[in-house]
Amino acid sequence: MVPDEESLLSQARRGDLAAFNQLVERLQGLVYNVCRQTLGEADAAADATQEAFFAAYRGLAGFRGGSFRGWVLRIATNHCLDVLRARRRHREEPLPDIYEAMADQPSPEQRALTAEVIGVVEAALAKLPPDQRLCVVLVDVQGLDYQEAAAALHLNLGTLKSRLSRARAQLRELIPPEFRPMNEG
Amino acid sequence: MEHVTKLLSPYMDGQVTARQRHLVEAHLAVCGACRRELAELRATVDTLRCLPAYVPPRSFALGPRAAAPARRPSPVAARLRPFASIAAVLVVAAVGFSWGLRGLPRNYAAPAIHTGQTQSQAVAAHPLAAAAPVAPGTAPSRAAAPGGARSAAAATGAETATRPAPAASARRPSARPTPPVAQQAGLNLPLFLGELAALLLAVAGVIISTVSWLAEGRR
Repeated sequence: MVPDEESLLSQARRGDLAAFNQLVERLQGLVYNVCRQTLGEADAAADATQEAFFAAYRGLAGFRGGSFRGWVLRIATNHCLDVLRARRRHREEPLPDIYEAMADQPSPEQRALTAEVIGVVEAALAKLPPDQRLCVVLVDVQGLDYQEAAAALHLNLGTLKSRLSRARAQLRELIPPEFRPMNEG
Repeated sequence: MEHVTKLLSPYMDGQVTARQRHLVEAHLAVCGACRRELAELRATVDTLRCLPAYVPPRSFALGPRAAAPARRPSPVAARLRPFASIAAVLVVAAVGFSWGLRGLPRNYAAPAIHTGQTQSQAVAAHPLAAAAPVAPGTAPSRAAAPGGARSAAAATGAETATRPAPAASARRPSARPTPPVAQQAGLNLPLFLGELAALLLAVAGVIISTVSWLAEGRR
């Protein structure tokens, strides 16, 4: 029987590293992808993901319950924002390599987008302000519902809606119609 | 006619109130621009949802060592950290200073604390003074310099200051002539203070380094 999140959490709180690592295994794909889409770089995303899990393990005593996934995402997104702030202080925002997405292994059902489209979309994402980018990544790319995304980003629902609305409007301008293969008019 | 642009994004996610939904739908029925915008927004979001999921490059499971409770530097250590290099410099400077002082004679003709004793009294009071060891480095100059007035010693610096009085040399036939008894009887204040300062510097440096290192902890 697969242990549920609650029992794994209580074991992890008692210092059971194996239990915590089971939670890591369940969440690492999501956390890595959020970091990857937010930071635009594989190495930075891996570092941020690892740091988020370190911080989560160290801060387990401070977890007050609720969605563990949302709590870890909050740690990860905060870390991403720190990275983006530091990056902005030191250098220009990097644009993702247009072919980088294809270098990784998208799941079969997501091969519909060509490498070129992926590059254009990720470049457009990178142009969004970080707070709006995170809303899009969590809701539109990762498919979180509004409540969970708002909790992960520590926003109220109204702020999330408004940021998401502005971000989508910008992306509509940034992604030319020919790069929206799903557009059916 | 007022457009409903701001409501289009939550509307397509079903995140509007019944009243807002009614408002949007009524507007869309009559506004081609907003219908077009809604369609483009939907296409944009659909495209985003089709972005490939990246495969994590490795497992992010924590190893036992990495997951060990991190010992954060204490506030004391955090404050001392900038001084760690200063402490190292202090120790090096102190050792170097002390080493340099070893070149000076113990009985350097500095303004010794005058005891008021006569030479014979001093000898009587300090029978071991004449046998006090002198710094080895000073021996050659002593041997080559038979005379040595105090004033000349003070004027020419440490090395010449070591020249013993002829009388002292005569009393001791060995190669280690004895300096004037009156000088030995007095405390060599500059030398003493110099060595004390070097010792204090070294101790301070070592203490700062040790406390800093102990309090630092390692992750």
